[in-house]
Amino acid sequence: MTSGEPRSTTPSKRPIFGVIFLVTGLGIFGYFLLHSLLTEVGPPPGVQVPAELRMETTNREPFKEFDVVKWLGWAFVVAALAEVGAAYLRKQSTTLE
Amino acid sequence: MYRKFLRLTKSLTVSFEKVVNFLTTQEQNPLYFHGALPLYVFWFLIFSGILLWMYYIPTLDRAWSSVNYISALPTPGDPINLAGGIPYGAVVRGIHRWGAAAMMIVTLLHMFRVYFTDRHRSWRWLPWITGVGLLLFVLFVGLSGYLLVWDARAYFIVVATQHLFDGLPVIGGALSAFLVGGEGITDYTLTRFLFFHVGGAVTIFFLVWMHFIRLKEPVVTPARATNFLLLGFILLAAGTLPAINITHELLLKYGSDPRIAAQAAYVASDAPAQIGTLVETIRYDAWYMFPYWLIQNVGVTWSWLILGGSTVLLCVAPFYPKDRRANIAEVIEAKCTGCTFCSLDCPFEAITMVERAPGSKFKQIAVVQAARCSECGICVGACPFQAIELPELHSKTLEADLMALVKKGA
Repeated sequence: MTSGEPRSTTPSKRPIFGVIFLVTGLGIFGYFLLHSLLTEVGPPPGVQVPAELRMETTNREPFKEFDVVKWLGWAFVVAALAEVGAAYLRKQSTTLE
Repeated sequence: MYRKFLRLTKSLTVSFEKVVNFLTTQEQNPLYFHGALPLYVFWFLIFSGILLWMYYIPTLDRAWSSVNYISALPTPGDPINLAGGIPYGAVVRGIHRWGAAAMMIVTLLHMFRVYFTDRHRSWRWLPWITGVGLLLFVLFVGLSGYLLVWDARAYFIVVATQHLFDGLPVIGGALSAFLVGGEGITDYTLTRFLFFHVGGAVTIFFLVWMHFIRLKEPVVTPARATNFLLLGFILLAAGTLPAINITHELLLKYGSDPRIAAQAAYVASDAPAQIGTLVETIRYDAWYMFPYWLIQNVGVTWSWLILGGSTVLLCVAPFYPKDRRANIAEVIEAKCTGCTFCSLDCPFEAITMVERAPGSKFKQIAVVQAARCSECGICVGACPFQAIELPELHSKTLEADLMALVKKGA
């Protein structure tokens, strides 16, 4: 297309949900990665841990981690239902007369 | 008969999809993104796998404990694992484990949808055959993942696979040695398993490229509701039944906890492998371990016949029954200006532009590759010069028929 001709392109919609989804995902991934890296500084597997280090980390309750992940899971299921609900409300009839 | 069967499955599938359309609306129907689903789940597996890989040590004496370190719950009296493993490690491993189950489920869903709607035959043979390869590689990578844990079940799989290979003439022994990286099980064995797992995953990427090569616009992202739902289910599964290694200490501490009991029954790994000691009972995972269920129940020869036979059947499926191909698009040389519109619009990359002889009025001409043409007629609509036509459905005839219908309606 030459520069003098009128342009008929329309700017595409910003994918807000997509951006939120990506940023959240990267955030969670980064959080896990950071945790992993920080743990790396700690005791490696198969090596005797000094007593003072052991005391610092014994109060972890693993099932709480699983609960957080379950809440996240339910949040995504609810988000999926909301998506379907929104699609239903926006639905247009395509029946030809 | 077979054609009738395909027609029946097609109409049943379409009817079922209409029901789902009613429930989810057409734009959010997960069945319309069946091809994108395995790719979407694959990303979860890649990212969680990279995190797990950071801590994995592929040696006989450290493999199990390194996996346990990733995901273990705190175990009293164990100086190494007093505080448990890495925070969220069991969750990441759970995502990897449940993602693998989801991978096989959505891959099979994709395969059955394509087969039942009769979209696997004729010019679609390449995506189908590469799809069969992808299915086998998904199975292979999933199984090699079980080996990496190096628990009692992993050792059982190795012994059973060697048993399966030994049933093969000539190449059986070589395959058996290739599997474990030498004559016996050594540290190299675990390195080899890691290679199988990661190398297999990389090969899946290569096969996906071949799977897509003849499709102009493959759908690679499912609808948002499907994304959310699938991610939600994987997280719920990983949070409810996180993948852990069941240890004696763990059972002592949490033995009365129903959650631990549930894990032991489903996704938990076993005690460390002891070479030479086969456990009596193996918990079979339906999605990846069915070959071993076969070996135990019907024997090696029948297992080979069933597994090999199904693969062969899948590979010949796109070539039977042969359709009469009477409507492959034809280019009318005198009219073709070489504008490339048809080539750009063809969804199956069936039209290529070729240089015309020197001195011709136009530089290029469209050439139809018959084997790739789906007889859809999109190129006919794309051409401004009526230079490409379907032999038994000429655009002029179609236009006249349409006009007649319009006049009748008016």
